[in-house]
Amino acid sequence: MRKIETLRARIAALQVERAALLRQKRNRAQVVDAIGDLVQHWAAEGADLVARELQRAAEGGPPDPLRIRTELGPLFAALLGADAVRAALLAGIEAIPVGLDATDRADKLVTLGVELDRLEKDEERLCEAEGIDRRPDARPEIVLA
Amino acid sequence: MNLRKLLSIRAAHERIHAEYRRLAESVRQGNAEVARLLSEAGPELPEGWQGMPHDDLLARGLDPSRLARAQIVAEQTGVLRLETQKLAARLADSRALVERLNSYAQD
Repeated sequence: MRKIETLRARIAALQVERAALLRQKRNRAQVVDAIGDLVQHWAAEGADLVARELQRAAEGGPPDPLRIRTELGPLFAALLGADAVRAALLAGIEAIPVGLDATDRADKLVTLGVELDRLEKDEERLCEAEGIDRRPDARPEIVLA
Repeated sequence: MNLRKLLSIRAAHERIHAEYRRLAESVRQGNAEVARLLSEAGPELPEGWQGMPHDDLLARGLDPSRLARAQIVAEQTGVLRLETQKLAARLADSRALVERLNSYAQD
């Protein structure tokens, strides 16, 4: 493989890796925690709502606790239990990449940026020296440095 | 910012553009030449004339030499058309790059 192709393949791979890192702002554990916190909140909210409906029934209102005007989350948590709702919501969690914590992610983004700068500068030097067409998405700050 | 390099890249883009226009014009002329030769070769070309023997073409009132010339020009034009298509891809990439560089330079 020509040197330019090797370089460009490496650049493309790093760009994909960086894009994935930029996209994934929470790692898998943080997603689990966030869902857990949300379900906990729903459970408390749902319990309050059901309690109020029961109280209303006790006070002579229509005995219809399911007539809860709310989001589905608190209702499901109240009816099925927080653990069941959490488990159902997290059934597909394996599909989420394990990811990095915030510090490691920031460090990795810096490392990738430095490596990309280096490779793209090498690429630009090669284009210049050998008269190779530049990529249409070559970074102007590298090409015109 | 390296202005000289920007100008050099713009000039290279213009060269690709000029070459593309030249090739596209050659293809246009080739197509016109083929059409002219075919129309001059006879009143109506039967289907499959390309594979017909010389004498059959003559018997149908066709001009085999013009037809042969038309085939040669069509093949040459086909090659040019492929080159033009490849150059069109290079030109599109080059245009995209120059637009990015111009935009960066303006900022």
